[in-house]
Amino acid sequence: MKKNITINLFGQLYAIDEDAYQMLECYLESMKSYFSRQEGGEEIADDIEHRVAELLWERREAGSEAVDLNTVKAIIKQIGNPSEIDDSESGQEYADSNAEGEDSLGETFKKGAYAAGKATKTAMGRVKTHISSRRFYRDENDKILGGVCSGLAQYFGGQDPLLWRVVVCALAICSLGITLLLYLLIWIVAPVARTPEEKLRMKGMEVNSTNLSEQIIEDNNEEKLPRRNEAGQIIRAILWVIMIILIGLIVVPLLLVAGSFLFCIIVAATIFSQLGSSITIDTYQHIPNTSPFLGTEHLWLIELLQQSSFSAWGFLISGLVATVIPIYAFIRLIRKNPDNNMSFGAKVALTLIWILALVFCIWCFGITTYNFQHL
Amino acid sequence: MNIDNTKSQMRKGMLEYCILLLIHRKPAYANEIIRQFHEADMIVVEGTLYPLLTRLKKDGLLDYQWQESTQGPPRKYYSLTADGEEALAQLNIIWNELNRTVQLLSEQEPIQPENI
Repeated sequence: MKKNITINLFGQLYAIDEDAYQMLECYLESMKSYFSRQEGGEEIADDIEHRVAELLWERREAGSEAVDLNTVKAIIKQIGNPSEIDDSESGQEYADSNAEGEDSLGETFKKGAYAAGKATKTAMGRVKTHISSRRFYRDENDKILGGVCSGLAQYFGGQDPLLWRVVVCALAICSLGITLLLYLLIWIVAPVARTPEEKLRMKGMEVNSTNLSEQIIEDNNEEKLPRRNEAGQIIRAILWVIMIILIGLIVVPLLLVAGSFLFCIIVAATIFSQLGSSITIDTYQHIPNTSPFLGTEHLWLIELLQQSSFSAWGFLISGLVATVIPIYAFIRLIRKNPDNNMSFGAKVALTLIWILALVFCIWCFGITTYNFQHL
Repeated sequence: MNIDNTKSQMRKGMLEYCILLLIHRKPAYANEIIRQFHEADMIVVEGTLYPLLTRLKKDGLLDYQWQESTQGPPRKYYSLTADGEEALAQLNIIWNELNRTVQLLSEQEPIQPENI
């Protein structure tokens, strides 16, 4: 017995098994992502979607009620995988190796000759694509904390993540938590392998229909049997304890210090800026009336106060940014929402902003203390 | 020599020309082209056609119109543009030359070793 859903393809409804739907969806998605790299790629993907609809229509006309996994497999085999379909790679390289203004009509025939010469390179190319198709993902199906270790095991080819876990645990204890900070960083930055395509890439396997269908079937089985052994539970507990201690020892005092500091600076800055501005108004109003000596004597003080209030405000604002970003990251980490994943670019941007704010904060702090000392 | 590889390269080189020939006869949609090519054993997977059609359209050789269909989703009917016709005429010449060369070479009698 299988769950069945209805899909709408260009205004026509088709009943399709759930696993078959998953496979079809990921096939069309992989088409989109594959061809999105080239001009007119959306149109190609759309054409292929139309073709899928046409083939489904034909099968329904022939009397098959519901679309099952085998039907989808047959359709994918008929239309082909993105890499089988695409011919632009050789075409692109051909175009690059030729000067512009080459007659595009003869290209068709010359391309054949060119590609034949290129055939010797394909063996090398195959090795390269094997490496380049492998991506780093966290493995959510086999995770203790964030699936980083299982991801590392998948990426570097070791089958058993246990070894990685033991090493990470040992390092975490030896390095007093620095390894765990690194772990946290990878946890935040690295994506999870969710779609069957991503899982294949994580394992370094070629993304084609056979592998995809096997992956989908494997996923369905895996959902019924969650993998977690006793060793994993123990390591999980150890890592949590270390992490909580780490947070208690480093993060909380840091936040407390930063918080009290911010408070002091807010108070100091408001007092000084008011004092500074009142003195400014006072002095400038009095300058014509008082002696030049007194005026200059006051001026250096005013400058210093204005400067210190600038650096104090700089410290305040950058300190606020530098504190808020990690807190935000931490909150996101705890309440992981799979539907609302931050993009890689946003993560990098936030990290950069954080570093800049931190540097600026320290710089302003230096100026402020310097000014206070010289008051 | 890898026969399969050479075969697929030859086929690849021919495909665009064949598409133009087919559409020259009458405007066609992808399914018709696929059916004809299947009969002639020209393509392995159907999908190969779509990037080609898109590229030919981008080059200005083809144009298409959407047409509603009573059997399935709407179809794109491709037709040749003036540029396409011109391209086809030139390709015909190139093909004839190639064909003649191959014909000539294949008709030559193998030379016996003692006659060299």
